[in-house]
Amino acid sequence: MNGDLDLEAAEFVLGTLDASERGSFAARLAGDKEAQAAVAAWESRLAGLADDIAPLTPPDHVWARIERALASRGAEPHGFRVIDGGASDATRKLRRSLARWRAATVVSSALAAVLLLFVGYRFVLPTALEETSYVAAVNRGGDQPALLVRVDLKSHRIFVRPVAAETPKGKSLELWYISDGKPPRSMGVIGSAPLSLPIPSGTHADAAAFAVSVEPPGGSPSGVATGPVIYSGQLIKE
Amino acid sequence: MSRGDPLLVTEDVKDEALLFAVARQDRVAFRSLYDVAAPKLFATILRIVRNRAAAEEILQDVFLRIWQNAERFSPEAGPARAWMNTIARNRAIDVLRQRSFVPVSGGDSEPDMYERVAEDRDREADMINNASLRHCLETIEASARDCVLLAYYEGYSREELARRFDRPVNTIKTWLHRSLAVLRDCLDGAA
Repeated sequence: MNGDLDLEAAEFVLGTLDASERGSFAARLAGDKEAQAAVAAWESRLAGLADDIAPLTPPDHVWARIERALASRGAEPHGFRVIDGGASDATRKLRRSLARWRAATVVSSALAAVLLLFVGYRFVLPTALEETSYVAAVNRGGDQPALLVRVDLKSHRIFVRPVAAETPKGKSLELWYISDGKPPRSMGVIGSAPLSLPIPSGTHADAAAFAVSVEPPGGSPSGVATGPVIYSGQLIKE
Repeated sequence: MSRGDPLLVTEDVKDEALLFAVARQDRVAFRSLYDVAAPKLFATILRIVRNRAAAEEILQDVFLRIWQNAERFSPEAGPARAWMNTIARNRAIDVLRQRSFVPVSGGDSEPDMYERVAEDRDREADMINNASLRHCLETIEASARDCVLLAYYEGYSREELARRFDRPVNTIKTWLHRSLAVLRDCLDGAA
């Protein structure tokens, strides 16, 4: 066992990593079996501490809100639909990486926090957009979107503004445009600077979504997503 | 693993059954699970975020996540309570590290409690695992041990620990790493 990795895993479980270290480690966990095992071992070592916490009954309105949230969105989480676009090879690949990601969430629910989308949170979206604009808050289920994506049909461009996207060490983040029934299309590697891109031809903004996967430096060599999907979000008409 | 005490084993099995039912989208089971698990999770979250409204919001979110992820729970990886506790702690810490809260009261913590955690060895209902955890905690120097416990129970960051113990952040990091390494070697040696 790598000693640094083990102590980072320990601090991840303990909660003492700062926001950016925590985000990077959560992203690393997605595809790193050694890190997953280290986290699982630490969760098990420290689990006994929880027994010392005296229970406190929450107020009734918490359950009422949970019931309302379940009723309003039905049984299926909305975010997963993003990936289930079509039956093409590339989509299957993206789905497989989602499955890998899901498998990893067994180890740590922080990963579930990364994957589950739009759970009870609303985002503050840019105001005063024209009718021909669509926006997506590309998100990892937390409080802050990782990217804001705006599709402007007038100028035929997509504007990508990174807000809090965290790139794992030695990797690149690649943005994918997923239009209904079509293979995910790479929109390129994203960094910390805002981007402006042409809208891919033959795509519809309705029912389109964006996903961000972790790829080798410079992006997926094959043109299809290979790494885990760590952020995703659906376009909303403004 | 918490298989030492018959009473606890029964509880584990009950929780597991409820989680399996929740995975089949059984809402009655979900309510029962909420009734048995929410008080502990709520206390855990509240101690970390130190803000009631935020803790209620996080608890709600945690149960929605439990509802959605129940099918991924695997009893081989540990007891149901530990699985739910991990979701709650991770969520509370995620939120704590991303937002700046104004804690309702900074003087809420009970320093005695940390002593109690380390010293109270007599509770018979405690799990075997827990007894060795207690023993191993005692082998760590007091301030370094309190860092670990404050971080676990109250979500203290390295910076907050540095302020509390009036030490540089790097010293705190060293303390944490040393304590965690001692804890690991002690616990793994006992297993």
